[in-house]
Amino acid sequence: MVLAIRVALIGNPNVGKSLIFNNLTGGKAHVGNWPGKTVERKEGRCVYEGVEMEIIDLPGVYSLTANSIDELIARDYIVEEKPDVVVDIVDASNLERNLYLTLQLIELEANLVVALNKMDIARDMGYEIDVKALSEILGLPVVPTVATTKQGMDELKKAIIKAAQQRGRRRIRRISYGKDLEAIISTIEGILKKDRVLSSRYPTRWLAIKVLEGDEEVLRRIDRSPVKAELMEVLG
Amino acid sequence: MRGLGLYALVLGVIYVSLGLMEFILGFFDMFLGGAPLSCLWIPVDLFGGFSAFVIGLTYLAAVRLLKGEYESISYVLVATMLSTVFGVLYVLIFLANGLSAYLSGEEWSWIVDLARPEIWLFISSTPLAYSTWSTARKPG
Amino acid sequence: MSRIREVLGEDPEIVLAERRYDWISKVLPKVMRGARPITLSDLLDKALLDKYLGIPIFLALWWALFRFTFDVSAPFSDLIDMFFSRLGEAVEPALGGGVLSSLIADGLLGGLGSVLVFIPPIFFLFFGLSILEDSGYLARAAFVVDKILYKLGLHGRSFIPMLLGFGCNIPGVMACRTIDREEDRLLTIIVNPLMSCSARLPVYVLISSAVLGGYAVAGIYSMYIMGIGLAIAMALLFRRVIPYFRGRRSAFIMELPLYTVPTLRSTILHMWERGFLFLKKAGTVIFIGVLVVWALSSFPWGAGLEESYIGVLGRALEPLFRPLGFDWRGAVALFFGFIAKEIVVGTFGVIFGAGGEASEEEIADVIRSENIFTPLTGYAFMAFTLIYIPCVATVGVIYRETNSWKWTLFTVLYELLLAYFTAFLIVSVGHLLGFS
Repeated sequence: MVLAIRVALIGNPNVGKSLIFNNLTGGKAHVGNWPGKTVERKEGRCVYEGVEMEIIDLPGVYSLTANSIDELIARDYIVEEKPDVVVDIVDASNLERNLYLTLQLIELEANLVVALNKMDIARDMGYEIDVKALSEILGLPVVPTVATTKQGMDELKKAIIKAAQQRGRRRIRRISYGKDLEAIISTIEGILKKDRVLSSRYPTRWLAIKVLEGDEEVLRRIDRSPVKAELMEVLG
Repeated sequence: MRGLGLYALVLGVIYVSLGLMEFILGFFDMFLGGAPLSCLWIPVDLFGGFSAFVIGLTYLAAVRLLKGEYESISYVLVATMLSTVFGVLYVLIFLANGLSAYLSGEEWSWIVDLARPEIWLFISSTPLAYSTWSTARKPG
Repeated sequence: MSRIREVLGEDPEIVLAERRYDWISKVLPKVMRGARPITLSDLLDKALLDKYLGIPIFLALWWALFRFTFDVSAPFSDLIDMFFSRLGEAVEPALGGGVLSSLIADGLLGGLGSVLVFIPPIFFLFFGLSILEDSGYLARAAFVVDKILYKLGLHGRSFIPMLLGFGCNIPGVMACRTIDREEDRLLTIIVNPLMSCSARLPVYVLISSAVLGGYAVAGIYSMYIMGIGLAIAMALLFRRVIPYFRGRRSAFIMELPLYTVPTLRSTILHMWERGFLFLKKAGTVIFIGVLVVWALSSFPWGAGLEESYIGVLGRALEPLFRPLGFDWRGAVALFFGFIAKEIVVGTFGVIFGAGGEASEEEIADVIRSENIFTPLTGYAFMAFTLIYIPCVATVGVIYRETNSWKWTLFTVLYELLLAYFTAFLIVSVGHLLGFS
């Protein structure tokens, strides 16, 4: 039985994240800045069926690299603060581009709920989306919503609560990026696991992927790790 | 569809030839000290020639309309827009030159200004513009 | 990472991105049905963003913009010109000779008037730019150019701040805040002043109409293209040569706005907003600058132009500029151009003012008859104006945005050097080709 949970909202710019934030928090938000940065930080509260949710609005981003302040803020929050649930707000009329972020969130092993917003616009454009199939393929709960008319909000709250309760118990769907790449990722993961400190703090698969991408922030964290030498040798 | 395609093709060929000639005359004039043959109706205009050439290419890009590919209508849409921009531009220049001449009391070679080919090509492109734009506006 | 690159055949970062998208495109058909109907916007984009036609179309539209700016506004400039010279003719005898008369006739009417003559081209330019921007086209142009810049090795989202620099470098520099990586942002700020701002337009118009004859518009157009070219070239050069700028680039993702038909009202509004800034500037900075120039050129009172303070200053600067073909008058005008580029014209207006009736036509005549500039050196002068240091206000903003004396100084220095080098190159090549 959960009484208080922390929920982070994330998604591409212009997907209706602010609207959903307002729908959930009733428009009351505490606005400030992320510590030491000029990026705005919005927090609010939502109570549903006896559960108190602290909702935080992460910056709108297209991906989670170390290249921009917005992306770093969003990523760091998820990785360091480890919120109970992360709601990925996806624009149903722009599925292809939005799913790119979703994949990266899955790599991060965040406790995800997908809010499939703008269903009305998708319908107007002639799209038919099989929500159940999408949910099965992603291995995640997917809630269709229309933020402008507040449709799906209750279902979303229910899904958030359920996800929080099932945290840690849910099977994490592993999405394969191709045999050759996966082999390399496994090798790097194996090396990283030897550093107990690192692998207990961060998901190793995500670390391995970031190392491959040459992510500056992750490389900086690994710089002081005992496994660095071995890693450098494998990478060449 | 075929009709539109042919119409665009014809305009394209005319614009491309016009553009080439304007450009060549302009090039001679600027760098080689004088146009070899100054044809009365073809302006000596380096960048203007380049622009006309580009408009022509855009019309020609619509050639796939002839094969029935609807999407190629986009080239006609943009090309007619360009025809309009330049057509209107040269008309405005015609008027501005007139105003200048009136103010300064100088001679006004209004025939040359008005005979600018792009103006007349713009006028000839208007039926094409009308039919392609009204077709494109219809949904689906 | 080299071993991995060998195994995969490519940079792992790229492979990862590709695999993610591959996965998505395999999954999409399983969860989604129905294709998006083609919108008018899609159709327009197909042609405007075309791999081959995109940039030529942009260049053609840009040419149209300049013909519009210069040729269609010309009669209005003539009107203002005539107004000021009639005013000068009327005023001078009324005030008699003497300091006040000279102040008003040569300083105000001659100097300031020569700048105000350029109100029509500036407003026409902003009118045209507003149409291009409000219609949504400019974003497409930026997209097409950015795509190529990215392939060349520059970062994403670099062209829009640069395009903004065409109105005034200050919003251009500030717009660089949209760029993700600090290093890329700095790079774009540093090359931004190479984009020809509207304050330089009066200089181009004056010189080109004086010495370039029928090619005046082509000359002006080429300044803008040169600015774009140099900005790109310098950015690429700095990226390669200065270690600070190397490394990962900002992502290239852009949201394209919807196409809209710009209304007359909104276009005029935008034109007025930007043009008004010019008028305000004219009323203050330029006004004061011109008065300073007038004062320096009129005192010691009674001495001829060449013996005045400004003449002394000019003579001191002249040796620097002689290889470029500029005489002391051009040198002095460039010197004061640091305050505001329009003052270059204002300076000419003051020192060439044959009494108060200095109209643009007369200034142009003086330039021609006294051979102050030949077509070649005039063109080099325009290029110099394009490239050499931005105005004081822009330098101030650069400092504010970069927070670094080092980089601000670097910008000023490299631009001075580049300007000198380019002007010299133009003059040298011109001599070789037989121009004087």
